[in-house]
Amino acid sequence: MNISLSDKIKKEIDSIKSKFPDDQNKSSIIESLLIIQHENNGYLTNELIESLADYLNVQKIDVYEVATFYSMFSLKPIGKNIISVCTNVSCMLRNSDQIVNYIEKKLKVKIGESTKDNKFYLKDEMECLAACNGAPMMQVNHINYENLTYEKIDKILDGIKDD
Amino acid sequence: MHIYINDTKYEVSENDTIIQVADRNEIHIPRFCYHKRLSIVASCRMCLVDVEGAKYPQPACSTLVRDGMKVNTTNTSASQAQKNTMEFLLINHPLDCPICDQAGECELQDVSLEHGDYKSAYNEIKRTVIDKDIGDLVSTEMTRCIHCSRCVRFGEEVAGIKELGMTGRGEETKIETFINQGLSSQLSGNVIDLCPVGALNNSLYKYSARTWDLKQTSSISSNDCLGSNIFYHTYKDEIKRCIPKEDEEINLSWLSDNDRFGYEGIKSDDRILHPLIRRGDNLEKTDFNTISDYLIESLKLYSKKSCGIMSAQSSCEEMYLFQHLLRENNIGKIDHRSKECDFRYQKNFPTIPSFDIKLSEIKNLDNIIIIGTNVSKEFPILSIYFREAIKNNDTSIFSFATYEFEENFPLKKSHVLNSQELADCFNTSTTETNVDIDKTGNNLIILGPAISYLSNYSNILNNISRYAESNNMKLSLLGDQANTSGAWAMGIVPHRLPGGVAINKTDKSGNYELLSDTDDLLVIYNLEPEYDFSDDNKILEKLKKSKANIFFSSYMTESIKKYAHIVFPLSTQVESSGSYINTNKKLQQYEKIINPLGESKDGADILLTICNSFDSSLTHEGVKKSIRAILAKINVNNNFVQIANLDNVKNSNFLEKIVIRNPNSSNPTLRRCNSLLNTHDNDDYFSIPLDKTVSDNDKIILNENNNKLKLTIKQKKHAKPINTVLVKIGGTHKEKIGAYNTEVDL
Ligand code: SF4
Ligand code: FES
Ligand code: FES
Repeated sequence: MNISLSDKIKKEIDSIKSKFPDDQNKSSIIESLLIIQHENNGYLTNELIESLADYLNVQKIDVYEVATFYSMFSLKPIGKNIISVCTNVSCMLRNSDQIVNYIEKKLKVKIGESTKDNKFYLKDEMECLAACNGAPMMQVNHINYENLTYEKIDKILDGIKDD
Repeated sequence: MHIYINDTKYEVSENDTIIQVADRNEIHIPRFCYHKRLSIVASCRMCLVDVEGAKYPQPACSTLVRDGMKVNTTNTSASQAQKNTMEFLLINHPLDCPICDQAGECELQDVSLEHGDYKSAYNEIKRTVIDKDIGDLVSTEMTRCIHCSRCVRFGEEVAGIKELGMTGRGEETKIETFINQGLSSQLSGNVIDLCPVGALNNSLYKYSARTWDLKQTSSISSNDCLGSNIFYHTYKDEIKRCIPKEDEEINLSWLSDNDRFGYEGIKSDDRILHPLIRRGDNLEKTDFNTISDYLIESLKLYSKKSCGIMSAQSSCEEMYLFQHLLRENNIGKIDHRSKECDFRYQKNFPTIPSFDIKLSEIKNLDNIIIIGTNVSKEFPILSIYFREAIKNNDTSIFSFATYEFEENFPLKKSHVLNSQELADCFNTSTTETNVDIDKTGNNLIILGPAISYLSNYSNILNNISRYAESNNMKLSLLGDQANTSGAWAMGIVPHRLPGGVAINKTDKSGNYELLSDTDDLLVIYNLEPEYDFSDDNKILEKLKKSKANIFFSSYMTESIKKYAHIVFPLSTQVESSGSYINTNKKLQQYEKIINPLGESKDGADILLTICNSFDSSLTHEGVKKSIRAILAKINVNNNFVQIANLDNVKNSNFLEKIVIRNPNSSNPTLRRCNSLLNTHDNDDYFSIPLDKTVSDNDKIILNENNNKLKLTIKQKKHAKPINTVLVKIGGTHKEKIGAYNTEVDL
């Protein structure tokens, strides 16, 4: 099924397209996906991917490749607040695995899942988040928190209000 | 300019990469992602070689040569690098070679043996990847994928439609289609050859043989007039698979799906395995002598009141013998144009219709006008040349057709017109022609086979020829079968002997009719009344009225069961030997690949035996010699067909019907290749102009030539062409569809 993109989104995509040569619509995929994801409560669907492919006149698989490559795109509904714990080398050496374990237990989710009340999403982060000097670290809603301890985590997560 | 590889000096040119120089001189460099007909990505790192002066080993596939460069492909630095790459590639590769179809011809296996280490430092768990369902032709075993991306680049660059993509990243990287869509490209099977490992496999071949047991025999495609070169792989007299044979003049390294998978049908249940003769309501087994005598007697008895219609998929040898047999018995009504209904052009037609230019010259054209053909579907190999032309020379391609065809290359403009408009828009006598291109360029017009099925074919041919000639363009005529050019050259037409020698008779070619009048004897050779005639109603009527019907056929059909008096069991192309003349007028021989099923026989053998009964001097060798001699004498300079005093057959305001058939079902064997038919374009529908309505949605009744025809297929509407109903028929449609092109009432 093809759901059509809203006029507002189409307008934004058009302005992205105008930055690139006419025959290079693939260049607009990333930015367009970000806009669409933002409008769709933080995640993408196959239908949205198809609609964008049609609108940009590129192959569906082209859009799908981009959507699956970047960890900033999600292909399923996710909780409101996004927690990304870095588990790359520096953080791993500073026990990031235990940090993940702690959060999993605290929120009663596994990595890659969202809490039942949809408040948190514990993202499966793949790459170094570029704050090795403060390892172990995590990002909550794109804000860095470094030198984590269990107490610190409690404070950060409990401090997030339902709105 | 020159470089040294392993201390030997080689001549090179400026844009060479190291791997190209090595390949030219047969120096082995291992590789996975590199393929000579795909773009270079240098992602697998298997081709690392040592270059003097460089700090690290360099990828040979992407490193350009420098004058005096010293390359070493085998020293410690190079071989250590290769060993390391190999170790990483094997980290996640399963060790399932014993059950893998690729084993024995696997590039990973070979390179591992030659350049790998015997042990790995990796002790962790290997990853597994879930297999994808991408259609009936290509099966997947994705855990084996090494992410060389050849299959992805093939789709983008050669097939022109990117269907496989690389999704995810890092350890999650996968090759897949968008949510398990099936591959739709008519070139999809080529990814099987390209895949260096056993990740993408041939579904028909799967688990049915081991590569080292196979016997390879070369052959020629029987599915389109390009004449692709192929290899069949057989084991114990059974075809296991089919792969391309490199040919720089035709199919390069590729093969269309029709050619690759088009042998599946030969094992179909309805193969005719014995000579058959009618006894009451049934056809019963008999022997060749009985039916041969029957044939000879019938030919003598009905003589001039007979008609022989032969498929242009037959070999030149069969054609030569067929017309010889009939003409010796004073039968002149011989034809291969079973799907045509307008023959007014025939006296002016070239002795051999052809493509006129070499396929390799396509890339230098400025403009190409394609008329009435869906190149990507009917001639997939040709579409590869078109894409190359667009890339090389920014060639503009224009399409004129009766249907909005999808192509895998960009069209500058696509015109959807009915048959009358098609003729009109190339009319040079009206002041404006609708074709707006730079006439000074190097331009080509290509006329597809479907145009010849139209009832005003002569008018279109005439107008286009005049248009092309006055604008200095070349004209290509594509045949609808593998040997259409051969059929013209071998005299499978009523007005010419082999070699195009005109038959001098009082001229009545103007009113020549193939299906409308009755004949007492019908000889139908490798054609199915249900599918292969310009009007199924008419041919069935003709079969009913005639006194004797003789079929040469590989497969049984309803109408053969009902109307045949005798049936010769014909072996299929892979079970026979012979030759085809392709669209470039090239005579190509093919050999028997497997033995004929049952008692079926090579048509040339059957015909020769019968001919020998009155002319014992005829031999296979003699026939071959005659064919070569005939061809050597033919000289055709162009394909222009100009006809004087041609009337318009159509008035402007009637409703016409046009049938569009699935190109994956153009001959009897293809019609029985289920995997192909299930995969490609198996969609039947009936489409009427926007301004017309039909009351009952499921039953469409057509009134044509005093016949009522009921269609029970889905219904659509279209804006163009005007005054036209389109009947699009997939490969498995079994009901009557009436005439290809005629006037109708809804
Ligand atoms: S499926 Fe085969 S061709 Fe495609 S990337 Fe994997 S290994 Fe390469
Ligand atoms: S490894 Fe965690 S921030 Fe770099
Ligand atoms: S072949 Fe050179 S990097 Fe793959």
